[in-house]
Amino acid sequence: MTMDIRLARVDSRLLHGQVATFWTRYVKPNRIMVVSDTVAKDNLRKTLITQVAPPGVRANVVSVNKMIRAYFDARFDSFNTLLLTENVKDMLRLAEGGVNFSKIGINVGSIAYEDGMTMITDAVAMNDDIAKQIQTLTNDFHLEVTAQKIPADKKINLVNLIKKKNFKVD
Amino acid sequence: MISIIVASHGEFAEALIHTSEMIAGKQQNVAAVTLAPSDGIDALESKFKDVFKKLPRNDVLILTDLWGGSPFNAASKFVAEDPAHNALIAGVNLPLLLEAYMIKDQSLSKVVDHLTNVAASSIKQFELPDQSDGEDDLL
Repeated sequence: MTMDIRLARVDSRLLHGQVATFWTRYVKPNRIMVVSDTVAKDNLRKTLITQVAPPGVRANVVSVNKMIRAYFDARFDSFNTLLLTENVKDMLRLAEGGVNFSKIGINVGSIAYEDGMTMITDAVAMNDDIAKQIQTLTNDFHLEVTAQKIPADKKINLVNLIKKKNFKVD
Repeated sequence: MISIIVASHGEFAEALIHTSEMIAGKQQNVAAVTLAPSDGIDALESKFKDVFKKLPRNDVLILTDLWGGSPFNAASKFVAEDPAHNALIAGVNLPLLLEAYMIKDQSLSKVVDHLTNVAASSIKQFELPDQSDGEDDLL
């Protein structure tokens, strides 16, 4: 057995208003796992995240490798987890490490815009590298990758959108 | 499904709804009543009446900015006229409004009970833990 991951979300802003209020209410986790190598080393950001966890839910900030270890550790089988990464790459690393997202797929809340990227929804910026990572999650791990800010929004299939917008994924 | 009216001095109510929709997405049956400096009591009441007309004929929760302020006083008349279907809470803020959105499908009395219970917990100080050794307690 492993822990039950109820939502796997990519969000540049990690744990913020939409996640703390709406997704927690919708997914009903007993644990929020924020997975980021950089934040796990940053005490101030770690403290902030553990403090803003909504009532009744504990939040942990761990590195990608630690998350993979915890996933297979029987001591945490009772976790109903809402899992957050800052970027698609970390989510792909988790999948490559054996974390199974096949029941839930990958939810993309927001990807922040940087130079050279294109906005493909109002919250998701894209470039060829990220498009390739999404393609890998879909082809190699058979995961549905969808953009959805809050539970009430409609899911947008990102692989289809990436194809339509002609990103280089080969 | 209840309707929600946010009422305030100045543009606060409109801006608060706009802000809340940035987090919660577009909302149905939510409207603002804003008091302009030139508005008298009658003008404010007719603004409320206009908003009531626009909303569906169901139960209405009115959230105002300030206990005893003019928007509150005007709203209290509508509650007095129909206390079974209208309710009023003062001291609206963003967490309270978001909380209201999430339980809009419940009965008015349940919504009021819940909001008054959680309201105080939405305002709290950020405190640093006593000791931070940098190690996560997990694993």
